Amino acid sequence: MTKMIKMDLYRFFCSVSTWIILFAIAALTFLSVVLVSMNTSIQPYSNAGELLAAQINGGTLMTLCAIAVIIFVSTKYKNGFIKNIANQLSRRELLAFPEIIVSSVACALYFFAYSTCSIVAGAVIFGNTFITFSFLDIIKLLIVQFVLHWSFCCLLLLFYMLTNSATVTMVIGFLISFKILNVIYALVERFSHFNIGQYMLDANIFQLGMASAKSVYIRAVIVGLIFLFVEIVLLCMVMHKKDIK
Amino acid sequence: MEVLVQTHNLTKQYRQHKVVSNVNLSVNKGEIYGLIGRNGAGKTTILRLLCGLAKPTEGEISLFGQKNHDMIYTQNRVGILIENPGVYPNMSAKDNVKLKCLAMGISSKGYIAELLADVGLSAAGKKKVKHFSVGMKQRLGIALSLVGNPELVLLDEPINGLDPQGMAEIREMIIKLNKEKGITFIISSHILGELSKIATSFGIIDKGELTKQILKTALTEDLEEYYLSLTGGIP
Repeated sequence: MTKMIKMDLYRFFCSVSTWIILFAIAALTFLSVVLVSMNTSIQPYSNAGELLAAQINGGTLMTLCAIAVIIFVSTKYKNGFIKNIANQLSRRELLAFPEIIVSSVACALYFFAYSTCSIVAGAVIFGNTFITFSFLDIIKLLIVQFVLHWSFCCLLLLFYMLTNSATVTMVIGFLISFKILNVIYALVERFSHFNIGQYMLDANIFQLGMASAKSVYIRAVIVGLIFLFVEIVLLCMVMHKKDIK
Repeated sequence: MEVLVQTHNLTKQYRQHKVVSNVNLSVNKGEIYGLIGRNGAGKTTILRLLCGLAKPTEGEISLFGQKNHDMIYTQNRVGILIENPGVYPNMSAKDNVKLKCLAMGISSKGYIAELLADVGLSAAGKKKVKHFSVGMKQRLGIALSLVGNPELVLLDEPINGLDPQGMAEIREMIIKLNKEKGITFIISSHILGELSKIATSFGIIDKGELTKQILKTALTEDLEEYYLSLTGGIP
């Protein structure tokens, strides 16, 4: 399995789409910071940490991670390369792990690029005082958001394995990133007086900020890890049952 | 002679439809086994079952003397080219082969160049696959199936879409690999005339059933007539 992971990582870093998305992340981050500085109706952020958290809450990074992971995985299945390697593993379910690991690497790479660009753009546009934030707080936020985003990517992987359609999966990913499920959570809360959103992956991504309480952070990590675990188990089950086409 | 592949009542069913039904197939080491049948007869499904891409609904497969569950440990001794060559069009031929080498833990220097030379793609190693002709893609598909020096190679319609010159080149390549490296081949095709030039034994598939197994030495006009009767007179 480690050989397969090595192969997928090699392909990930050789792939043009990886670098195009990385470039898109850098450009979008700079652009959004410029737009924030120009828009007087937005309450100005006191530091780069707040700005970064708000941008992640916006769902842009979520959308880009979804695109990157789906493009990467679907190519292997669409062009049939998977047939060349599927019988190299002693257990079929292990085929899910290279995709899971690569999606974590993709998330980590994009998170690093996003946060670095955001902080640098903030410092350039708002001045050096803008980067006076607690480094530890930012790291904490990024780690928890990374777990949630990775889990989101694995959810999309699962959708892809079930539907065999990159288009359907991409649309599902976009709808979730565009906060469509918030409507459902609001309706559920209205009728049952129960806030289901706080136990869901996407709602936690949209809510978690620098000023969030410790309990919110802990809940977000637990939600992320539970989703991740369930998705990995389901992915393994799907891969075990699935015929490779 | 050592039996490399053996199936017992091999059956694959999708919902109510039996695609492969009670196939009892036997392939000896060193053979070039031709699986012949019209389109939709079940040839590809049999190959997919043999290499583990699909799971049988019923029946047993024995590869290199190991059955069903144990078989998964022998499947990496099997190279495959099923349907179209599974390649990344935006990568070079060399990179495509390198990916499979990485997946199999092969890092020996010069291995990729040697493999590409074996299939006659030495000069096109750095060219992107999207610029390849159909024949070149088939060659690359065969090169991928040969990574890791498999003892058994399954080729599904390897001459599909090729011109007569391309067919002859692929044919010669298969015979060379069989003779020089001792690789056993199972090749599916719907063109008996082409397959009869290289195969040493044949299995005829019709509606998911293996209706006949025959050695080349016993290949007579009867077999040709029998096959024509199945295909409605189309060779």
